[in-house]
Amino acid sequence: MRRYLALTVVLATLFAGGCGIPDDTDVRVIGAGPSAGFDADAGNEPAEPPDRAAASDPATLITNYLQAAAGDSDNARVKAFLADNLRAGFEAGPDIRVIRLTDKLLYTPGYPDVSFSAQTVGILKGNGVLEPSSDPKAFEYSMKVSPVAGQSGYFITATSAPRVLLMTDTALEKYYQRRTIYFWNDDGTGLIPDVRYMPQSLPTVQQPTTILSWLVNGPAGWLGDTVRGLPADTTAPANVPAAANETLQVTLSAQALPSGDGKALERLRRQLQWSLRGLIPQTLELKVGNSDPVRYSDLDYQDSNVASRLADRPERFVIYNGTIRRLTGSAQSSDAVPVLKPADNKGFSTAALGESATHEYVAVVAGAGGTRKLQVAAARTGQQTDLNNVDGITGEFGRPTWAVTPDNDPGGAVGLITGGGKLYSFGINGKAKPVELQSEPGPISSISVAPDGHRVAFVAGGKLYRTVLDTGGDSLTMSTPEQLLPPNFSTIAAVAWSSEAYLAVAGTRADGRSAVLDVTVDGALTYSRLADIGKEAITSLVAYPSNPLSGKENTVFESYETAGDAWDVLGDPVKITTANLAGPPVTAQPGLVPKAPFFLD
Amino acid sequence: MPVRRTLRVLRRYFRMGMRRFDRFVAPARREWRRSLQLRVVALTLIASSVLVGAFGFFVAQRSANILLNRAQDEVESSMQSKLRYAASQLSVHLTALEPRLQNTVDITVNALADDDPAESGGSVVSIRADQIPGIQAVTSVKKLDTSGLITRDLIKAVSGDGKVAEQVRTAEVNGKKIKFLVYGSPVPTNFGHLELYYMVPLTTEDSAANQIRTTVLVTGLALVILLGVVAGLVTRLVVLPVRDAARTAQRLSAGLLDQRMKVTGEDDLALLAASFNQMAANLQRQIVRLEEMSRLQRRFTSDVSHELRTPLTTVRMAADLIFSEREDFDPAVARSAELLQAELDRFESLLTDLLEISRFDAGFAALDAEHADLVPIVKRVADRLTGLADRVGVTIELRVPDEPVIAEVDPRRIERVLRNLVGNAVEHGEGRPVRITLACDEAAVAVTVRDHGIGLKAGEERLVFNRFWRADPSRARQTGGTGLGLSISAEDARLHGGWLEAWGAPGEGAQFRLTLPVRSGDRLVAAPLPLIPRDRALDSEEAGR
Repeated sequence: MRRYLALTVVLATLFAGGCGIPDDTDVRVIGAGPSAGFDADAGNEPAEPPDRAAASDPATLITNYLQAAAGDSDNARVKAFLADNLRAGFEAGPDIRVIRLTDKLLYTPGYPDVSFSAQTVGILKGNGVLEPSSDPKAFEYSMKVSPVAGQSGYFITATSAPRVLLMTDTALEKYYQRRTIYFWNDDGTGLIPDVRYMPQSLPTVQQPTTILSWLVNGPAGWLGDTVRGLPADTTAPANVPAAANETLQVTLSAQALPSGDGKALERLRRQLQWSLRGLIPQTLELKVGNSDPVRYSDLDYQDSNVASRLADRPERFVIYNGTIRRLTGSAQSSDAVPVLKPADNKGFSTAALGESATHEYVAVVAGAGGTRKLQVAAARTGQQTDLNNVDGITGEFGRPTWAVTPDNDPGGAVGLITGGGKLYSFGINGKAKPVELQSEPGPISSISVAPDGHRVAFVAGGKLYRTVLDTGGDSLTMSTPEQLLPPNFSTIAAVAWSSEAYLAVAGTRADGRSAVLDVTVDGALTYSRLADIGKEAITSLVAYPSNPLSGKENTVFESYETAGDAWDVLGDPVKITTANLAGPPVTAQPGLVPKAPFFLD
Repeated sequence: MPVRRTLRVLRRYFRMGMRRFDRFVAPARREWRRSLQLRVVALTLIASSVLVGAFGFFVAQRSANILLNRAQDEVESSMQSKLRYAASQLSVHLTALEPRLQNTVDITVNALADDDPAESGGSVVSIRADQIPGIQAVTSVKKLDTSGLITRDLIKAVSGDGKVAEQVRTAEVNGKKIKFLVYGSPVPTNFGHLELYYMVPLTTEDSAANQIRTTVLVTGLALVILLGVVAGLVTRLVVLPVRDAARTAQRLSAGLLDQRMKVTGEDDLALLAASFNQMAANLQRQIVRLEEMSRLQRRFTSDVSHELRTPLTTVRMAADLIFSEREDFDPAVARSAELLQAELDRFESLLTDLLEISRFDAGFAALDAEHADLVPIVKRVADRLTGLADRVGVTIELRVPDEPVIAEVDPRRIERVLRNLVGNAVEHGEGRPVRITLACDEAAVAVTVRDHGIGLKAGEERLVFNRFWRADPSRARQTGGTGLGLSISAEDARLHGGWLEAWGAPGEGAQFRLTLPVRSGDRLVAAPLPLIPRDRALDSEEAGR
């Protein structure tokens, strides 16, 4: 009896407590952990500026100091240059003031004082945008460099500089790479490049993540309303992982695709494919919100950027004896001049040709002296048509240029021309209309529109400006121009787009000699084309921008015009002579030279 | 030594406890021994409890395992995708020193936690870097202390050995104890590995398991109780008629001969009841018949005695006349007259005894009790028999107390009993002394009569009280009485509520003991004198010597 009772108690306890899910169990090993499923490319040794310890004298220390901010995300390298008393209060944000030394460092060996004079080029923001400074004035910076007791090497013990990160333009050149990201224009018809600076110390695997964050944070300020950022509240919730299986996986939050916009995904992927170009091995896998990832590996994205249509070898033209002539050595040099009927091809002083996928456009300034007039025409590729007169322009005519050359719809074409220092826009028909400028920088002498049709660089009053063209409204408007401060020029004569990131600039140096330079769209960096071409003033400059797919940042096709002569920029100025004219050979006549060179763009 | 002492104390307490327990359960035990129904029900309960318990345990354990396995499978597959995601997110970092690494860990944990479907509510994701200093562990639920969930053993297996491992742990979340399935796996990176832990609450599974367990428990309990009730009812069906039969049998044995069992239906129990009733009826008939016969016999004896009395009186008167005139007759006739007289005396006393016996048998004998001193009675009996004793050369020794022995007795009957006993002793004394002893205490008086005659054989101690019994049937009925004396004496003793007993051994003589209560109607428990004489031991010792 007692035995039964005990048995029952044991069973009941076992039953009540023994079954069910246990409170705690031992660790159960399931298997070995996963191995790395990706092939992380360690990348080449990132270029980093020298640190404090590398300097053995005060001047080198300052030089290094002015480079230290490059890619220094947590300011540690910069702070290391500062003595304790300065370091304590040094709390700089991510913004870096990019300066350009106007002269060499001033210092006396053996003395702690180092001073220099520098012009502020702009502010390099955390998102890689360099905002140009509007103040061309040079500031004096003075610093004290001396050893600190108990520590080796030199430290900056006193500085007159404000508590900001300083970096020279040379460091910007050396330790950053230019990276173009893209945003859709307001019409959603084309991508507009946005140049950013990416530290070279950033490993390749992290670059997609950084670019994605730039895209999410919106376009640079100066592009303004003409570009459309990603929808508000879009976020990149995760890193872009290292590419695996030739695929780059990009994840965006669901807000990236506004509901009801069927083409949004298509636009988004093209924007990403352009922005991440070179980082996508083969396939882009795009995942938006919780939807299934979509894979893209075609090259069909490329036509979203108009600049991708730019030819490797442009068709080149000059005006010779009032006639548009092709140049030898250029593409289709044996073809007829587009659009113009041969009979009409006479009496021109300047001309511009533009093309779209379906049409070709011509704008010429005909006549001489006070009877000049603007004539335009558009025809399907390979066809010819009559010229229309465009009225409404007064004053000295400048060179016309085509800003917008639409496919299939010649009526939507927009050209720009300066007349008497003012800017006019014209179409295929009708009168020219003055373009509204938000400010009055002075008489405009040269204007160039980027292939995207929105970014504009112009020269007004000898100064270089950039702005954006808004074609959205009834009339053409330009946003407030920003002045760019390319180095070395006292007066700027002409500007042309050299690539998506560079402008070709021609002007007079401080010593009165002329030069041609490529400068970045923010004016910070330069690429010297022709440092010195003598005292002759440059009157106009044309360039055929490089195709972004080619990877070249500077075009090889630049030409300028001095009083009477046309030159190619080919390492040295090379004069365009009658020998370069294609078609029927001409005998050289004195006073009759090829001039006003231009491209079919 | 203290251990042994402690053990001893413990053992003592245990024994005490057991004793108390025994006392406590004694009624239950008694009930257990007595009640077949209780035993059957209890055994059914125990057996079914064991069976149902084992079965329920199996079912509950099995379902809990299934639930847990399902949860494990789910977590494992979920873990795979989480692992892939974490590894891809961390792949962009080439060294552990990158300042953005912590940020990546943060957003990865958040993304993994957000990624979870809502129904797995409360699951927790944590990334730790136990191998890499400088990286903070990040948990998707900030307030949760994961130290109880991610145990040192798990960390060792996952972080140290680089294994995928799992564990079930219980943690307190918002004051509630919740079971978590903790899953850990290393996440490969370019700089060693971090560890991803995924903690999924088993609330649903646990409550499901508990519900199953409760259901099984309740069902099992109900089943056991039901089985007990069924067993009780079934046993009751069998036990009730048996009890009825037992009760009826008890009543029958108590003399209530007309008691019968109720017969319902035609089953085995009905057959039992019918057979029982038949048996009872037969018994009753037999007993009634025997009683009737016995009554007729007694009546016959009584009637015969009475009927013989009247002619005997006439014959007696004539015989007395003849006897008184015998000297006038010739000697042979005179001798006949004497013989007639003696046999008539015998006949008369036989009749008297028979009448007395039939009076006892008819239940007419009444006790005429009074307070009387037994000493004079004993002396009187001895005196009266002295003549006879002298004739056969027997001396009668008297051992009576000096003070009076007062008891509530019928002196006439006592005197008859004693006369009978002493007469027998003298008769069978074979010339050896006869000793009469009287003794008393508060409750009883005893008289023993001891002789040293031929004694009694084994088994004759009871036969001596039978009617007309003789030790040696071949012995002539010359001596002795009617053969009814001891029977009547025994009846007299019984009438007093006393005992009349005999002891004897061949060659050692015999002793008779009469024991009477001091107060009439009291129940006797002991006699003041032993039945076996004290001198017997001495005699045997002497014989041995």
